[in-house]
Amino acid sequence: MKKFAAGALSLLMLLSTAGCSGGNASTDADANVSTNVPDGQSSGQSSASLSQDMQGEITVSIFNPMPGKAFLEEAAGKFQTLYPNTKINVETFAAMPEVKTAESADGGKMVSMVSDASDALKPDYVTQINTQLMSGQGADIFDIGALPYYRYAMSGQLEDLTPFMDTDDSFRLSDYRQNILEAVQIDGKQYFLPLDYNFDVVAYAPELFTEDQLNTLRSKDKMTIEEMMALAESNFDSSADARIFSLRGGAGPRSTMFGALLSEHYTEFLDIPQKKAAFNTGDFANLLTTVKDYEEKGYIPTDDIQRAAADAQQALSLMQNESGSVYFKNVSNALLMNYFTKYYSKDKSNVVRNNIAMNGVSLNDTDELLGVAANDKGEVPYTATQAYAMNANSANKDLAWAFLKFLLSEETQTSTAMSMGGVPVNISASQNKAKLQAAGVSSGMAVPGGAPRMNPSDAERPAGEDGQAPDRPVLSEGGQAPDRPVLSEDGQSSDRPVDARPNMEQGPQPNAADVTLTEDQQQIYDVYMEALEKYTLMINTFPITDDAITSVVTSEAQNFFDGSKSADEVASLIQNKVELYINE
Amino acid sequence: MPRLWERHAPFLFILPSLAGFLMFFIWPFFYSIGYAFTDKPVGGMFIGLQNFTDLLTNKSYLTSAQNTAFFISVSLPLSIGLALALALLINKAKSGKQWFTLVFLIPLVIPSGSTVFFWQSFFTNQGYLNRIFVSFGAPPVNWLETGAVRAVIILIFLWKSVGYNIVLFISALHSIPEEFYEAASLDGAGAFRKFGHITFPCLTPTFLLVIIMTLINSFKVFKEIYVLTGRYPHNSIYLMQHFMNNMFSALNYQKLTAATCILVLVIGLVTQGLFWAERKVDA
Repeated sequence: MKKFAAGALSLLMLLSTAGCSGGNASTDADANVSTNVPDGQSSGQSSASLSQDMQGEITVSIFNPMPGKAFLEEAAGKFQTLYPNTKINVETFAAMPEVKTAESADGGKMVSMVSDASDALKPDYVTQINTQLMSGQGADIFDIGALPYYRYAMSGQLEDLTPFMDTDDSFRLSDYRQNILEAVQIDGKQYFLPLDYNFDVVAYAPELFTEDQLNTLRSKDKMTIEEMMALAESNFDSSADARIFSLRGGAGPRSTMFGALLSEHYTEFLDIPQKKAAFNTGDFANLLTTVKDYEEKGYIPTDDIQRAAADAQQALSLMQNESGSVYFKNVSNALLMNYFTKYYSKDKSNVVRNNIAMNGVSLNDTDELLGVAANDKGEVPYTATQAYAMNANSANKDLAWAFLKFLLSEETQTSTAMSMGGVPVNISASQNKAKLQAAGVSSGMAVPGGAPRMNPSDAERPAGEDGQAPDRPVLSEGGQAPDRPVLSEDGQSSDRPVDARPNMEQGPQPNAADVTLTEDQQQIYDVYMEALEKYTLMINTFPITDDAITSVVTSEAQNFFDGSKSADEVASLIQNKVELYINE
Repeated sequence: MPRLWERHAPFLFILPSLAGFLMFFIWPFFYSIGYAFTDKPVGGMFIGLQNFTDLLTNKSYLTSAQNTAFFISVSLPLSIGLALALALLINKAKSGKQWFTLVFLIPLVIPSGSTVFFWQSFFTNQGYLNRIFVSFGAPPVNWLETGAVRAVIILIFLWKSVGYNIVLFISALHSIPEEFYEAASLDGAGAFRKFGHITFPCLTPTFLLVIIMTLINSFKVFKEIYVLTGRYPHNSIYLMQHFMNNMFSALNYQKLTAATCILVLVIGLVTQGLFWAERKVDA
């Protein structure tokens, strides 16, 4: 097998370099080749540019079809058009999520995506990938989302991409967010490349704070949750319909208080490379009781909405009940553009009043941005919706690298099929996307069946949609949980039919270069890019997680929040299981 | 010609079975031992005994070894003692010996999957046992997720394996001549002396068999434990089979085969020790 792979690789080198020198698609193997043909073992050598002769077949595997499938298939289609002798196969494992819609009384529309099965299927997926890797096969590229990538990296199953990145002239590191790419390195090696990044942004309602407190808030650009709590607790009036945080109670996906606190103190509890787990020191039990305490005092909303997600109508009515003011809002960066649009639009009557909310939380134009949520060591983590690694046993590494590079290219990263609210790692692509969003041409979020595009001149607007990946556990890379309804509050006329989406033009989105921004829009774009730049540079970590551990932690924590087990029991149970798992 | 046939006939009859055994047990075992000396299942390099040293310093493996040793050291004597006591009682019964034996044999034939449902409904937090406790005013016990799970698995093991040993003991008891007991009664021996001086020594060869069979059965109880408590149960019942099963799922074949080698070594030594002890006692 090795010899064959070596032979195939060298032949590929030969053909690609031959193409290079000649300029035409010559398959004459005797073409004058000036570069060395490397032996089969080294995989770092790569042609200076892709040639028409690039050929072969590779497979890309991703667990979750949402959002990966549409994106990969579109990218594969374009790649295959560019290089006709190649074939890219896309494999997904879980089923597509169900989409449920509900109409609210004032005409707003909510779309929720519920996918119950995916978490249960993850172990099967991991087993399948393991078996394939073990027998030396498996996809050439896979998304590391549901996989124990740290174990694979340490046992040499993932290819180190650094040689590819260094020797390929057409790959310029400066085109990409370097701190984002470097944050995922393990032992200085680049085992996978994230395609985008998501981070949490904190905003506060200034009318709820005193002058002194506002001075403190305005002087900082990152705070821990404890600091925020200390500031707001003294002002809190439980009789008013207010909440201190927008994060919910209960265990589970990122937008819960539990998830946020766990993420903040992650390194205290778990260190996978060092094989250390410390859930039973009492701190974890304290964390659980603190969150429950917050829920009981009314500081945070309960997790009823999460439970009601399957019934979209009920979730909608629950969300509408949460109408009081919130001191601190912890939102995804995906809401930033919408926020700046509301804030800076001079002519507020004409602005796209579409209010995009995620998990029931949206930013009002009266809110002020604090910064990012960090821990007391100043670590700011991010998550990625898609991140791809190369199989060390791949038979066609050059083609795999070429495709990976293509996934990171400006054109692919600007496409709407890519991610949902995640900022592209390609800097130009992020600028293009921002431009399109500022122009109101794109909502920046992909939805099943095509991208909705809003026409700013039109009074009717489509619902904001949350099409995030299903029920991802707390710390894995991925967008928001899908079974979180998204509410769009706007004064639609009530005789508007449920499924009609006027002015939702399907089809290819316009080229960013063809779009010109009005003065208003240009200001929004500039402010947004400035904030994005500032926050992006603050991001410095990508904590190493393992889906198996995360699911154990969240399911046991949920037992605590349900009241069936005490905090100490849960802590020792988690410690038990995680310790056994890490040490194996 | 008949002599030739007589000499070789046994071998020819065994041949198919032997071939199957060699092909599906012996050869794969030796082939897989090769994995224990490499660093990766596919395309690995020879690394000598490093896997073994890694294993002996691996926390999870040591936990599993400790738990397995504890489990066997407690459940083996319990099972044999209980089986012997029951066998003696059944032997004494005037009628219905087969029915009693049948009752104890039934657990052996019921499929594990069906019984697990029962064990679960019995031992979960809101299960039957806890309800009985609560009705007596005692606090409920978390049977499956605390140290109490050790009692649960020993109970399950005893329930399953006692029948097998009873049958072995009963057949051995039948083979003890009645005259010995009659002679002892004439000499004025009581029940305990009869047991100590007649029954027990005559059962010695059976003990060897029973110990080995119980040892084998104690590894089989993993089936029920796995279905009941999952891949990562409470620390105290994380057995070697759990470790090996998880290694298999994680495709860590080198650790798996290293653990297997060590296990085979230990069992081999134990069995040899038992045979040696038997020879000593017989002499």
